[in-house]
Amino acid sequence: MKKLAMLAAACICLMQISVTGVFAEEKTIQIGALYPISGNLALMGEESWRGAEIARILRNRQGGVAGKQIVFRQGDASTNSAARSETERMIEQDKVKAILGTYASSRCMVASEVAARKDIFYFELGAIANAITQRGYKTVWRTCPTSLDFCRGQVNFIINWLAPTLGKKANEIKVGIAHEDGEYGTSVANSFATLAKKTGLQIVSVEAYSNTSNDLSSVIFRLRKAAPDIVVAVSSSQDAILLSRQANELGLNIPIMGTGGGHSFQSFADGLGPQANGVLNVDFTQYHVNTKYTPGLEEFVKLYQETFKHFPRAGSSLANFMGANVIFNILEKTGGSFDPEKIRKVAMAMDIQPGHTATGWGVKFDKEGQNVRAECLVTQWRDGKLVTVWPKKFAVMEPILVK
Amino acid sequence: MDFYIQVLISGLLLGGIYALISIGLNLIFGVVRILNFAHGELVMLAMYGTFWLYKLYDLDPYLSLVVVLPAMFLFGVVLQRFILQPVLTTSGVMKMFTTVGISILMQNLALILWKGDFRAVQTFYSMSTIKFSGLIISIPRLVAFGAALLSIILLYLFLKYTYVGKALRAIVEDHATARLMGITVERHYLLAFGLGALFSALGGTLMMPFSSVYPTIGGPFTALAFVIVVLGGLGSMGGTFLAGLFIGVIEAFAGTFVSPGLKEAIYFVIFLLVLMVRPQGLFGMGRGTEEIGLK
Amino acid sequence: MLNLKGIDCFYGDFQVLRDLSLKVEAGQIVALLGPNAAGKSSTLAAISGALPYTKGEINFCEKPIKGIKPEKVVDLGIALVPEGRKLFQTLTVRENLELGAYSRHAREKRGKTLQQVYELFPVLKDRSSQTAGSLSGGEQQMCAIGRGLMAQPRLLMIDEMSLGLSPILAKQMFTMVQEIAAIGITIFLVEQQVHHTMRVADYTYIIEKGHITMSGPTKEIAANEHVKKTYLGM
Ligand SMILES: Nc1ncnc2c1ncn2[C@@H]1O[C@H](COP(=O)(O)OP(=O)(O)OP(=O)(O)O)[C@@H](O)[C@H]1O
Ligand SMILES: [Mg+2]
Repeated sequence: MKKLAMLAAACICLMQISVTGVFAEEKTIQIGALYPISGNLALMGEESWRGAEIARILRNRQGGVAGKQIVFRQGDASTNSAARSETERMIEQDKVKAILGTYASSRCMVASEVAARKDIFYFELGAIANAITQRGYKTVWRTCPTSLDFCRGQVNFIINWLAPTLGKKANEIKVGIAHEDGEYGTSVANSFATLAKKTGLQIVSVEAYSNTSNDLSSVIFRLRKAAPDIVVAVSSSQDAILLSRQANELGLNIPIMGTGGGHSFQSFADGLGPQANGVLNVDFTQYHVNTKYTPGLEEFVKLYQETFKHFPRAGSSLANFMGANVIFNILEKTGGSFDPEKIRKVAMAMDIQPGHTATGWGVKFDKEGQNVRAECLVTQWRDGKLVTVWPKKFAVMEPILVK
Repeated sequence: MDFYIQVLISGLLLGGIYALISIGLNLIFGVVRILNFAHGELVMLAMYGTFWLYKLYDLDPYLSLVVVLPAMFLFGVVLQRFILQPVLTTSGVMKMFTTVGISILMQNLALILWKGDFRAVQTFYSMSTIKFSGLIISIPRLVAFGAALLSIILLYLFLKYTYVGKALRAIVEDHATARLMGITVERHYLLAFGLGALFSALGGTLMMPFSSVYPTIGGPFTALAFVIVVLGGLGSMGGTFLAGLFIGVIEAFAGTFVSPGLKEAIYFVIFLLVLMVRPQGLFGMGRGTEEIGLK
Repeated sequence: MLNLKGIDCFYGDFQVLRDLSLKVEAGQIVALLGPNAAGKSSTLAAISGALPYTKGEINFCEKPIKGIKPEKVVDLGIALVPEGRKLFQTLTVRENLELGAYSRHAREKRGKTLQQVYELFPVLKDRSSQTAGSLSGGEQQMCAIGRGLMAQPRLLMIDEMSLGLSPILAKQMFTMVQEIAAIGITIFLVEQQVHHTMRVADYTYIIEKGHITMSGPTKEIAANEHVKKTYLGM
């Protein structure tokens, strides 16, 4: 597996070298791009990479950064140990001064630590674990929302839309949680439960399951017993489909709200068909959104489609597009310099209000390097499309309640 | 009470599929004496086959069996003939590396060819259910269970009553002596591997109406099938069927009444306990388990 | 009928057969006698194609059979009843017998052959649906020989038939062998049980340490002083 993946990665690298080889070293800006492009996270890893890649292509067309063309040096974070060794390789051999990535939190945790120890910048554009920016590393920055932001989006929606719609007070709302038992599912479910309890919601059932399971009937049975008003699901991939299918099969008549992951894939709706209709979700900015608040989104989609011959598969590419642009803007202001002090100064000074980037997120970094203006939106599957329904300024449709 | 029955039904339906997949592994292990770590990948390949026939040619998953089963049979034969046969006389470790290699190769080819996307088919019966006295039974799952039962009976009859089936059983017992009878052992290996692949394919295709396929879906099936085969007894088809149901039911009850996240752990613990008490498996003939290092 | 010429055979570095030559004439009962580990079973393995040999050749009915696989050797008309019976324990007696006829030339007529075997060993008919593992030692040996006969061999090789049988039973088995020979099947007997073997064999070879040390019509061999002392305990 590794070999093939390496080969594929090597091919990609070679292609890029041959494309960009005409430029002399000093006329380019080299940035490491670390994503899982093989292994079980490859799908979204690659999707995320595409976002950054589109940003790179677009920026190079517009003249690059500080007059120089941007070149990505690829790394494949197929496993945690690969993330470590690839980061080391990019730093030692490719001599990159900054790395962006990573999609998966576990990979990012490992890779950014390696980078931070060598004083190399690590820009996280898509991984959401809260801890990433909480370890005191001065060179780790994140442009996208954290898992806490996901939960904020959900709680906000439940209190401000679901409760009034059901004619209940917030503290009368019962929530069931079903999550995959990996680090992703567990940490997000924990954050949600903590936040929800703080705001007075009742958590009536928390069900962990393995995401390689091919039968979730027991989860459904337990939820059916607990009878919540809404089920918050944290699914990483196909388990999202399985959960909805078996909920239908076994007569669980309760609305489901995903937390990104498996609920954001187009294949969720493709596989589920009409049954997907009405399933709620919270995630990074998706494509059916009020484009007045997401300038640059349409241009991104157009170039994406030209490059990859189909519509973006998930919002993560858009988030990486947005994040890569933020990095390019920072580097533009430092004149292409990777001097830590310069970058820090420029980044901290950034102040973009919401509604002025392709994701609609504003940009304002806190001391820990987290973009505090990144936020998650509530979407809903409607006729095979993931449309934004909340908050109102982003919404293109009103949410509906489907059990 | 109804609730318990509902859980039991879920477990049995699941167990039927498990049995179907495991029986292929048992056949391959029993006859060819090779631990096929690529077994789950055979399931995966069949699922993709079904998916693409549906996607490209609008072929119903059940109808696609007409194409998928022979194709997978052939695939198994080719795999055995050109990849496994040459390493059959080498050490156990070498054989293991070979099948693990095949598994990794197939996963990655799937990833490269079809991407990491999970794919599902949509049929009008995907969500159809039978309801009676408060119980709900998914029709495609019931169909899969019925087909599993039927095909396991057919396999049993085949092994029991046909000349070739008897030869296969003789090879399971003692391939060197079988050779003395004039049984062309290598050719029967091809048949056994083909059939093993066919049964896994049947399991995979029958699952498509209610589950999705992605490149790494096979791994858990391989692990599960090993547990079931050892539990049911190597070489025992009936044992495999019962062990499949057993694991399915354990999974359903453990998942519902203990924790869904722990159900795999629980059936694994039960598996180890059973092996400590009965090393030959629940229904095993007492031979063969030592070959995979469980004794 | 069967002719081994100068066979050398190795298990790794260990030479088990040394320049071994012997002949089995059609229509006879030929015996190969020798102590433990002399290489008797290895000789049969070499003939049946299960054990490759580095030097020498084996002809069956004037045709070389070197390099032919065991499953094809049986097609030529050589059947081996292996040491320790090697029945398929979980299969029934009938299934065991039927499988004996798996080779191409025997397969078609297996129904008829089965009846002949049942006539020869009526007890097998009574036990036909019992698993082979549940038979007594004598019955198992009969089943093993019956299974060999199912291949419709011209040459039947039996390895240590008397092993583990009571003297009376062993005696009966040797009588059976004579009956089989009487229907025109050439027999190659490998034995440690010298007395009975010499009673039935037309021709005898003595093998020691992988080499034929003595051979001749059984009567002559039996009269030999060395044989009398070492094998007949006289
Ligand atoms: N597969 C094997 N690998 C290595 N050595 C072997 C093998 N089979 C037999 N031998 C050795 O070859 C020698 C001859 O063995 P063989 O079985 O031919 O003897 P035998 O005359 O049949 O003895 P017995 O009367 O005990 O059956 C013995 O020393 C035995 O240990
Ligand atoms: Mg011997």
